[in-house]
Amino acid sequence: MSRYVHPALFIARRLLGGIGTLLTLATMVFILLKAIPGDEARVAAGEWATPDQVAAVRAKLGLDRGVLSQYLSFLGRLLHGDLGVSSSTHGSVGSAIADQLPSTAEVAVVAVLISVTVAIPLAAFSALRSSGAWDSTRRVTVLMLAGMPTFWLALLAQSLLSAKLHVFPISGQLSVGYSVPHVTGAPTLDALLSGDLPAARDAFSHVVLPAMVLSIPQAGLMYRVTRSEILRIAARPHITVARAAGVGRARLVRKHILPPALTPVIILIGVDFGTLFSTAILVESVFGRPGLGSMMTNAIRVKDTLTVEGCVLVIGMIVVASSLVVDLVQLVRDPRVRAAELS
Amino acid sequence: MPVPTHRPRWRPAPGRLLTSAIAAGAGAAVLLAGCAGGQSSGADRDETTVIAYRNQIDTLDPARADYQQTDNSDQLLYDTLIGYDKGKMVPQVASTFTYSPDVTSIDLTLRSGVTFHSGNPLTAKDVVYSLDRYKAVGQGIIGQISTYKSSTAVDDSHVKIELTQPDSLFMGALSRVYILDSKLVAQHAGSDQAQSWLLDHDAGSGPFTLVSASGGTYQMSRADKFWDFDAKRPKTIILRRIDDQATIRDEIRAGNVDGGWISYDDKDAFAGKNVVVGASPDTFQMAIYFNTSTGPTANPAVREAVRLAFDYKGALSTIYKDQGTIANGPLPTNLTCRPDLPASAQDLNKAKAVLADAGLSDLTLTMRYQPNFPEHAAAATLLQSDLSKIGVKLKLEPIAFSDYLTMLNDPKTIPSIMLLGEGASYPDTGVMVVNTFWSKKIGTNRGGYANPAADALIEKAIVTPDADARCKIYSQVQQTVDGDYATMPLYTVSMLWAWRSDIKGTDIPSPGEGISYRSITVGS
Repeated sequence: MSRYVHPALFIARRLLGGIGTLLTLATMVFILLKAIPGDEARVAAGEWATPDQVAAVRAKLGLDRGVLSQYLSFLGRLLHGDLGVSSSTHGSVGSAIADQLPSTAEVAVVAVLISVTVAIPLAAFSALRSSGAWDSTRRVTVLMLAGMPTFWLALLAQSLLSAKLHVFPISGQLSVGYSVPHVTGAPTLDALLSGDLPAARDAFSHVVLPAMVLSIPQAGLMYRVTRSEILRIAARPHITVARAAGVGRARLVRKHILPPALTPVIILIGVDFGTLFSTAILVESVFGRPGLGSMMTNAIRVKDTLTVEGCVLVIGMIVVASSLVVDLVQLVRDPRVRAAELS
Repeated sequence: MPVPTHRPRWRPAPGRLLTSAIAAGAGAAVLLAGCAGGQSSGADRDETTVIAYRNQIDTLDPARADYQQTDNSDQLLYDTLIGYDKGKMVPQVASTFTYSPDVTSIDLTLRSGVTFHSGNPLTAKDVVYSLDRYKAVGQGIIGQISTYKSSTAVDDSHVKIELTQPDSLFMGALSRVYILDSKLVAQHAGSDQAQSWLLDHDAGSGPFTLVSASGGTYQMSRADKFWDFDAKRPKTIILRRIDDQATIRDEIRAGNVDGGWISYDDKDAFAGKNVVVGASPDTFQMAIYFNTSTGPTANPAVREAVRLAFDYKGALSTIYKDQGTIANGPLPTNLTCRPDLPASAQDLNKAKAVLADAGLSDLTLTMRYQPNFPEHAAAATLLQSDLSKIGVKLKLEPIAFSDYLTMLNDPKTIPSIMLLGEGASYPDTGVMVVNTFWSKKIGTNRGGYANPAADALIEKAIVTPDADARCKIYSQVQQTVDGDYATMPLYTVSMLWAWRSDIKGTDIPSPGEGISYRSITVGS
């Protein structure tokens, strides 16, 4: 006989699991960063630093201590919510991430919205018309788009839609002449919060193309999963019974096919949302946008351990949080998940 | 009830619904966004100069002005004591500057009437504070003034700088040392010498003041009380980070960006546009540094043979579209104080003869290069191909510059062959000669090079206050280095830039000075 689990306990378990995941991640990244060649103190001291100056910087950054001692210091600070000070910028890693994260988040959120808005209706449409030549064309087209390297796609989209056709701005976050107060760090949101609609429109216009490019691989995967799920569910006996009972086609799709078919899609969105933060570097570079990806790449280049750790942890937190949200959504909307998880 | 095995074949009505959903969602977003696409606002673009830069500006703190991106930005916000104009040392905030006869101290007289953006006057105390702060920070620019001992404010307009040892390079290095508003910085010093505050704040007296710094975009406005005010400078300068050169090209073509470095492939991409394309004269020199102390390249015959095998002209043409000059000595071709040496040239027969005479065969060498520079990867591949023609196998191994710096700490770990692009950090030949070829400069000596004759010359130059006399010594050092085949100079490369045609003052006056955005003017 199974025992009832309170939803709060379920959430607490998930949170504990998430913290364990983050700690493991932080440890692995710390070990990897220490294992790769290069001397953080040498880089931080500067190209022309004398050996004495390098030694002083090493002591100042605490790099003269053992790796375990450094790791424990890092964990100690982490427990107090302190991500430390960057060895390359000398600023707070937390503040730097807070400066860069909103820009990436803006693109990632819009990318997910585009994926969902385009992929799910298209997959449903394609599945329900799965025998025609048009369906094959759609499938091949989606597969081709999804298979294109994001960096190349970004260059192509920018060249065609921005530079040639002038549909979108070429790069950046805001056009010259617009300025928005720094509230969240996401220009579109900040412009809306300050009531500056022209600036919001301009900022949003800078987000759409990078988000579209970033969304294409995700939308392709979402399309394939949704389509195959719809086909699988549509072939099940209860659908046949419903059809025989005279349930209308639109209602059949809306009420009986799409909801169960979306279960794996929701899981996919949760997993992919976190991944978008790390893959965003591919579009941030082309579209000249700041963000977590380019910040992390630069930190790796200069062997700025704490900044890399901070970025990885924040991305990890986003993945864990989005997984938790997905679990909760599933818990609410799917009685089978409720039955499995809470009893 | 039998389970149907076929796929459903009905034609539901959702076609219109789905089309509407797509149109309402993505379509509406695209239309909303697209209406504004590619348009600038009504801002006065003629008064605003937008400059694209590549790679992250880690900080605006002048303590890190050893890093090019920081230096380029700080030139706008801060002043230095001295500067360079066409390779000659000229006054900036210091109106006079003289070495003591033994080159262990410097006397400076400050220009009067210089004020910081805060309104505070720039005095000798600010100079002393700035130098002491760089020493206390212990990172970055202090590496170039490592002989700094102390300084004294004799009065408000006179400063005496003491050095730990004779250093004839110190004065030139002051051209990279920015003066901070001591009162303002002290207010924000905290426990980190104001490093976190200066990351995105301005405490300078330069021609522009910082308006905002966020997300890689730095907006600055013209300082109307600047001591060398010029109304032709743009009212606003915006530095925008764009890493991808294709994006820089498209933004300049669209008129959204007014200037930036462009790819060699985009030389002709601005025809019909209001844009001028130019080449900065011989910005940096591509060179191969051999480990002259250990490994196969410790043998001078190996170094000579490798030098003779490379097709310099072919590489310059293929990789850089002939934007440069074949090297004729260890240092960039347009630095002063260089000896008259022959240009590097390929001679495969002589290369084979050198190897044969030395009894060398079946030689395998390893070269390290930075793969993030496509031009470096291309040159490495070409050298690999050329060396195969003389029977030498070259293995190519990528390396990050930060890792390379670490390897320089010990001659035993210095790569046998390392491909680098190098330029003087300020227009003094000595800075490259001393840091690169003096055996005592462990950590910056690129090849573990140690020749007592060269060392003696360098040590003589360091204590020589007379610039002309130093110049002759530097020339002799280069001859010695070249005679030892310590390096393999490839070509001095010009970088291409594109600017809106009404923007002037974008030329690089001399090597090492870099492009100075402070000299930019707008209009006729």
